Amino acid sequence: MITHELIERIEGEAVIDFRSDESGRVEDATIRFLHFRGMEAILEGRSALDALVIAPRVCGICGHSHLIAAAEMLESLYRNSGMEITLSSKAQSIRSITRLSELLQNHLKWLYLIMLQESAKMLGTPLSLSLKALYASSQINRLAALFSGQWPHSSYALPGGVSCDPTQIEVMQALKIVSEVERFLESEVLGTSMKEFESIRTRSDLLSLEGDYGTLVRNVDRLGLLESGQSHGRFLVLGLHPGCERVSMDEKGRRAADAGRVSEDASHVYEGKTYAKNALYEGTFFETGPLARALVSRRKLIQSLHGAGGDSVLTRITARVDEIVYLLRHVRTLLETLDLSEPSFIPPPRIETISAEGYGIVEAPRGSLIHRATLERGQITSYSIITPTQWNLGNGTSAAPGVAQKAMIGAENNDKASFIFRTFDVCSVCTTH
Amino acid sequence: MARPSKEERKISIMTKALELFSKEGFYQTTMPSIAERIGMSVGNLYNYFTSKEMLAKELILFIANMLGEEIRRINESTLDTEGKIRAIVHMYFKIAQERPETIEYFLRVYLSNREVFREGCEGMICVSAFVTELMIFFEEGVRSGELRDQDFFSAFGLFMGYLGGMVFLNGEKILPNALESYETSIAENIYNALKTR
Amino acid sequence: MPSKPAKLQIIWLQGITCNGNTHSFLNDSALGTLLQDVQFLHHPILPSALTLRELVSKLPKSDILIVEGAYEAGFERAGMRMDKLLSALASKTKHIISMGSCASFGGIFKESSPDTISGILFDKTKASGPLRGMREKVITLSGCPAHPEWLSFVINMIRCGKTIKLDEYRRPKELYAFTVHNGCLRNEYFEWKVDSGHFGTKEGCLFYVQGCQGPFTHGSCNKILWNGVSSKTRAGTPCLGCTEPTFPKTELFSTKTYMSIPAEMPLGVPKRSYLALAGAAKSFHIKRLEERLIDDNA
Repeated sequence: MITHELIERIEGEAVIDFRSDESGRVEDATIRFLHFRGMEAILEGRSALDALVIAPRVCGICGHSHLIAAAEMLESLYRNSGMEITLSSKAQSIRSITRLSELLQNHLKWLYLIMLQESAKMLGTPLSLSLKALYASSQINRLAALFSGQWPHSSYALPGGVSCDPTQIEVMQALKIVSEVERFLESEVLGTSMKEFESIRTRSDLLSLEGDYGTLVRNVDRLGLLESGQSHGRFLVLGLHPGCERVSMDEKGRRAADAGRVSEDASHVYEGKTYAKNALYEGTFFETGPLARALVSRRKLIQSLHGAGGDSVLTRITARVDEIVYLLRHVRTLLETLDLSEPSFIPPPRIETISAEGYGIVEAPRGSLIHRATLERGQITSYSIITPTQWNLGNGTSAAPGVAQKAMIGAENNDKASFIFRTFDVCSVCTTH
Repeated sequence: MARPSKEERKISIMTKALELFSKEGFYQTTMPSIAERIGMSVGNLYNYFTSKEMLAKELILFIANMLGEEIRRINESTLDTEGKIRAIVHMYFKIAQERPETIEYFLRVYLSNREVFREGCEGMICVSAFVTELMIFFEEGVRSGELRDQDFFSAFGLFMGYLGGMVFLNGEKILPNALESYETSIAENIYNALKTR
Repeated sequence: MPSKPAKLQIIWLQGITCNGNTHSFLNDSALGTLLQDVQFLHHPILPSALTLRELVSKLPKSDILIVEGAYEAGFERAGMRMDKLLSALASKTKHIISMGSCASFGGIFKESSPDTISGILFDKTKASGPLRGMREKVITLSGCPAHPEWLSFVINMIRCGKTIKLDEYRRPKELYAFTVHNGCLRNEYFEWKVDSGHFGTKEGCLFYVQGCQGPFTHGSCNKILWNGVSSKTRAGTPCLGCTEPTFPKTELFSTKTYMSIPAEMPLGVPKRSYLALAGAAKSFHIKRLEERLIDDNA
């Protein structure tokens, strides 16, 4: 039996073609993204710095990651053409603060607008909109805007640093917001202190948490999905991220990861069906995103959940929530140690002198994001983007399915499979840039 | 005969002062010597200009406005950029011939005694009417594609330094031929140096 | 007891988009208050009465249709072509808001297929979009993205039955009569023609070298601050002109000049007046404006 499900309330829309047995159990699932926008072609032929304006418009929810990826790509182009380009540690910290803020607001929106809503709906008790979560995420966006001018769609990172020149006023305002979000996190999301949460090691302790995250875990438990969603157990972190090295992990263990082993497979792309190319590492599917980052950085809670239950729905959901805790603390440290006396921007040579190939990789909300380009005297002659969703939601074959595909296979019905799909935090607009 | 108005008196003072300044230089020219030349008392001269510096500033403003007006007419004409260059060169040399004291004043007093013009004439304020029109000339030349885009002052220096130099050589009686006989080749040189390659 | 007036029924429809306006809207700090007065029949992210599939099959009436994203006739939502979907929803609504520059003029996504992609009413500057016959219904909120306060302002004006004065692109004058230059913290540097030597300083004006379009871009970015706290120019980024039909231009981080003279003048200022004033201002050296504002940060 073949059925087509339109998946809404993600970033954009997707269609999943399910093949199921008589009982409705999912045997195979093909993920299709329908809207192609030609971002790479828009970039080609433009002046290189224009990428800092065009690239963020790939995605409304993770555009800032695209900005930082583009800026770092431009910096690699300088280096690859033999030019020196230096970033102050202040500029690096500020870029991290704004990039991680974007991850934080993304994770909160996913938790409240998608996961809690969808799980409640499936249990027949739909929720009203969580205004407190939107308020918290807007506060985090405000924190970012103190440095980046606005969120979404800032263009404040340029090769050589950042355009802003903050004073202690912005730093103190930002810290105030961090404190507010910490309070929100502890009283509303976790139902316990950040420290207590991180010291938890068992599923039963998580199930007894009182906050909204605890509610989600109990909802998923009632749906019988906590152990579902297991995939290949192969993980990849290609960008620099707090606590992480660039590492790939699979059954053979962990190794230093190298962007040179990344490939794209367009064999599943065909007119009117899907516009998402697969992203492969060493020729196969790897999961990227918060779960991969948690395991690579050896965060204890996620390691013990993974040890006990593998890459299940519980592990994957908790990894995203645990990342909120981890990154919020990191943002606080960055703010507290920010040295304002350093320059924000160290002017590099004119971009018109650059002809080279290069790439930039950052860890975006959903995982490793790669921007790659070739410049001819400062003009973009080719541009390509690999988004995290291409790693996680690519389509393989029945014998070698993609990451989310494998996670959905065996689900009791289409609805449950679709819920598993959403645990990957689906961004259609990114995927089909 | 009616008594000349204050404004007319002022203009005749400026005309005489212009002659003296451009011939004798700023420091050699004194308020008494100007008064004597006009045939008025020194005290009365101070009724018109409160200081020699003030008088000198009024003069440069007057000259810059006059040159600015001339270039503005050329800018607003239908000539192409090459034609405008010819017209500006012609205008400048004509004034140098017919009213040499104006250009002399510009070169020998205004540009050579910058300390006098420090206050109230900072930078290019007193010659702004003239410089603004040249900016418009250059800007339109580049916008239309006839001139090469470059820094304003590189182009300004080439154009005005060249003309000023020729007028200087002429004033020193070093040029073997009449100033106007150089117009065509100078305009051509300027255009060739500035045009799009 | 008088009954509470009915909530305004709103449909939020997406064309070719990045979702940036949706996420900009979610930043509205008074979203809860707004949602007491309006109801989303459909919204791509917020809980709403109808799913996309239901929206497409019912094509309901509404009070306000908000369109985010660029228009292309053959683009599909839940299997329905946009030409059909947009005209059906538009003809059954009272007001249409084009949210963001893609819906307004074509924006960035128009670049990938200039001949087939446009805004819903305007194609760049030409009023030749699919809703040209319903021009009177359309209110343009251009910007990439549009600010949440701009949207809630328009919704509240509609709710209160007030007349919104519009400019030639049907943008509310109250929001777009200003230039982005108005309220910029760098105005003093503009007055005295002190340029920002390079990026990354709070001092200096970005109009002369860094490509700032603030003086000739309509918008209230420095009046109604972004995320309540900042703006591009306050963060040292040039205004990119994103509220104008010409967005995105090229070479966005450098000022186009002819012989050192900015190619585009501040809105409504004749070149001769600008140059006369600029020449005068440049002649002075204001020590305070040539130094760092805060020594510790030098």
